[in-house]
Amino acid sequence: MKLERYSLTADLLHESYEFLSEGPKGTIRKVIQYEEVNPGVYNLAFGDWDEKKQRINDKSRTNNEDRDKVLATVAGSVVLFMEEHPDATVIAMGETPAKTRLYQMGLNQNRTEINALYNIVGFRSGAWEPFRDDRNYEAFSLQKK
Amino acid sequence: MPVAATNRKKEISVTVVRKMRDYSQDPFFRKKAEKVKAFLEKYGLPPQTKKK
Repeated sequence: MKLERYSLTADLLHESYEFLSEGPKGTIRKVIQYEEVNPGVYNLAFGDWDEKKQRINDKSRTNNEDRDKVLATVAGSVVLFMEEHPDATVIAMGETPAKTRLYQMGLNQNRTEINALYNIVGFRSGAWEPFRDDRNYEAFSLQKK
Repeated sequence: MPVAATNRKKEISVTVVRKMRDYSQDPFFRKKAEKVKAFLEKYGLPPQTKKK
């Protein structure tokens, strides 16, 4: 199944991406940021841009009825990021359990394609382990095969 | 595999721009990065990272 995605805009380093979510709540700018937190290890984070405050809104839950399209777009940014940073490890950890589950849903939705390209491990109960669909994780890590 | 990756990449619509707002200093992303740094210091890097 081909998932619908939003068009992305990337910076020259492919470490920041933007896209516009469209739905009942209007057009919302979303930002995906890959931040190097350890040599070669990048944290994936994304959030809604607040035009009034000129910063990411850390409390936002958009509910723009496009969750799957947003997740597919974020997954697409991982593919693009990894193409530009083939030796990188990407860590994804939500600031809340709900957000982490959202990441896991994104992984599961794109699992076939992700499995073909990346090694995935999950973190639970104090340790990293090979990713399994039937477990809830606190964090994930992807690395190109 | 590289071919799959290339085909996959072509399916994703992306425009690269020379100038984009510097989001790396946004308080939300700074806070997230610090949280993950502390997490990795406490629990260690994922295993595949250690193989490199």
